[in-house]
Amino acid sequence: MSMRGWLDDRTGYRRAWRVALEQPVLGGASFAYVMGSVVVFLLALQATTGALLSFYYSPSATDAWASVAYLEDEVTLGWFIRGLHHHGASALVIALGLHMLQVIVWGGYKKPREMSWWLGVLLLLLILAFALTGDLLPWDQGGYWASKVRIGYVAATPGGAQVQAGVQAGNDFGNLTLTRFHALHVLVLPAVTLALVAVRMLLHRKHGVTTRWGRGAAELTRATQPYWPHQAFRDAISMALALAALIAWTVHTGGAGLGAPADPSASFDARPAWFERSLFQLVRMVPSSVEALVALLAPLVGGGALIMLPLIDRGPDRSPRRRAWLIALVAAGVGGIAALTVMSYRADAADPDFVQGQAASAKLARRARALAKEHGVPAAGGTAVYTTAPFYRARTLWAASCAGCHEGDERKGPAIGPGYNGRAWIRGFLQAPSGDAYFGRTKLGKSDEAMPVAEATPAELDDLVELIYAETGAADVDPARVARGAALFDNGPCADCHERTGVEPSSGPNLAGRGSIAHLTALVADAGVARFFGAHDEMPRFADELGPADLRMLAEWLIWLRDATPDDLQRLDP
Amino acid sequence: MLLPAARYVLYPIGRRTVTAAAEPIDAIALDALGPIPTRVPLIARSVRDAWSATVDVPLGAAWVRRDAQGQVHALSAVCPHLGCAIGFDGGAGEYRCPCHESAFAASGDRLRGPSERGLDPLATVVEGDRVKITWVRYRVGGAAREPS
Repeated sequence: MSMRGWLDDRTGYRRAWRVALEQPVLGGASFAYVMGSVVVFLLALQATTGALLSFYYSPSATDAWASVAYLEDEVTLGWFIRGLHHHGASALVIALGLHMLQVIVWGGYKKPREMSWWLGVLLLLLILAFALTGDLLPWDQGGYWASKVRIGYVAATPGGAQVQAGVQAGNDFGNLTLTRFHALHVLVLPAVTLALVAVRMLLHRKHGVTTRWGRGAAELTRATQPYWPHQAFRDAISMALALAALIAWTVHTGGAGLGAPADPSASFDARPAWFERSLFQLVRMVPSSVEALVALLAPLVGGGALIMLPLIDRGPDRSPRRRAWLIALVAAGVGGIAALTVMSYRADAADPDFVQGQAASAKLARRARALAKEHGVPAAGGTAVYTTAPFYRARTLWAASCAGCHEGDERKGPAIGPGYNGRAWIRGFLQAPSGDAYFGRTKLGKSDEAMPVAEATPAELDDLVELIYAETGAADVDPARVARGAALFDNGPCADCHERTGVEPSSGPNLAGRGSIAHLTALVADAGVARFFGAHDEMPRFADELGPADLRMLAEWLIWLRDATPDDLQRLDP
Repeated sequence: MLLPAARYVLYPIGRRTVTAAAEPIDAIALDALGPIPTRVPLIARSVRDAWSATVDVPLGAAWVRRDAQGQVHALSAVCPHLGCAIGFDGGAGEYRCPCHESAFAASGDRLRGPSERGLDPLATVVEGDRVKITWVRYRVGGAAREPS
């Protein structure tokens, strides 16, 4: 017995195959019948890509963004799989929308196919539920804020607060929101969808295709063909075209994109998904008193009309000409949705604030993902990725406590930036201690007790600069120059005011270790001690505000600045 | 059978699943504030989110200003309409929501748009030269101001 025969005896697969593929297509195969198959194909593709995504996705508020960023930027073809899944959802909305439009035009919802139509409406709702639950899962800014607004509409209805708490699982978005949305998205909705599609396909077996209106029964019977291979071939071509278009679009767009991690403290101009845009535009156009009503009623009215359709239009005539009122109504509805969608995108494109906000969001997203790729995301969660930036803590402290006096036009102290305590900086200082970039804005700089300009030949100045520079502990010091500088220092007017060893106070600051870690740490802690500025000190004492670790981080930051250029500074925040 | 299953799924309703340390959050230096509102992120020292405890978690943001009398005022940056992040239009001197175009005066009072109430004020306390703000996430929608 052949292998196939053995298998057929035990499974009956040959008969199953025939039953599956030899259904007669009344009136002959046609490309007009492919949309349902395309929808089923796209659903299967979503299931496949979704399963692949779940190999890497972690549904927790602290992990979700990091896992998706890893998938996008590290995993081979991760961006592509996620892009297919993301755009595949849009393709499903489009394919099902076209399918339903065709059913409307061809009168396919009429007796005896009412159940099939209702299942189609239900499938549309399920697909929207998939899209809305899936939107939040990456836990990025776009999905987070859009979901907040969607749930806000729910919360604003009577009794909506309870519904909101049930949907978002608690009093605010968090871990439980994600586990809930994830469970719905990957288990509950697929199970319901699978059951629905199965019933819908069985109904199709029972009723067959909806043939074009106006064809006679005898002609239809005469032209009938089996599903295999005539219709199967057309279905396969259509699926392949849909897949090709989806792949092309995914490659063209570079995938789904991933925004910066969800951050309730960051500003973000939330926008809904493209298929919600018409509703979004509509609620912005109606008077604000009825806005919430319109937002909730418009989808209900639209959905209700679809459900009622087979009950309202019950006549047997499927010719669109005899149902012109319905066709006109549907055309107006589709045209209105399209017009509102276009208006919404146009309004945003014409709003400079919005465009600027989008650009800023895109920049933040690139930065967050670059940091995630380079350093990983701390276990504290998505937004903690910013703390992995070089000198993050020091720069945060600097911005909060130091920049006000040491940067910008309003500063009161010496300017501090790239090159601080480098040779050029020291040279500039010796040439003009009370220059604007140095002590010019301090009380000391304006007083009689300010340091005088160092009188020296260019060669002597080089030697003095090298001596001061050597105190920073930099590795690239010229010892011969330092020795000459030391001689100049000790035998000239410098030594009248400055010690340069130990911790003894002098009338000017003691220069020992000036610009080293230890020196900068102590200086920021308290610049008013005797060996630094003593009574001349104008800088606040930071020893109480900042711990030893923070002081040291600030000192390390200042030392990094010494050898840095403005370009280096730019590169820290790409 | 059905009732326990429903109670399992509905467990989070009415529970405070996400909670932050209750103390006021150190927000900004008093000196940094003027009559023009400044946007300040509010970072909780710790947050309990169901099973996880995390430190330094951004909770939200406040618009903070100091009036001519030296009084500090803070407003939640969450739009009371539907929860988008409110921006401040310096030219017009008013707050605007980027989502549904609600507008609010610098005082937080509602000017126009779909929001049914003004911006939600947040309690502030000045300690030394630091301004501390107590974060509350109010329920969005409606004219009544209730913590969510």
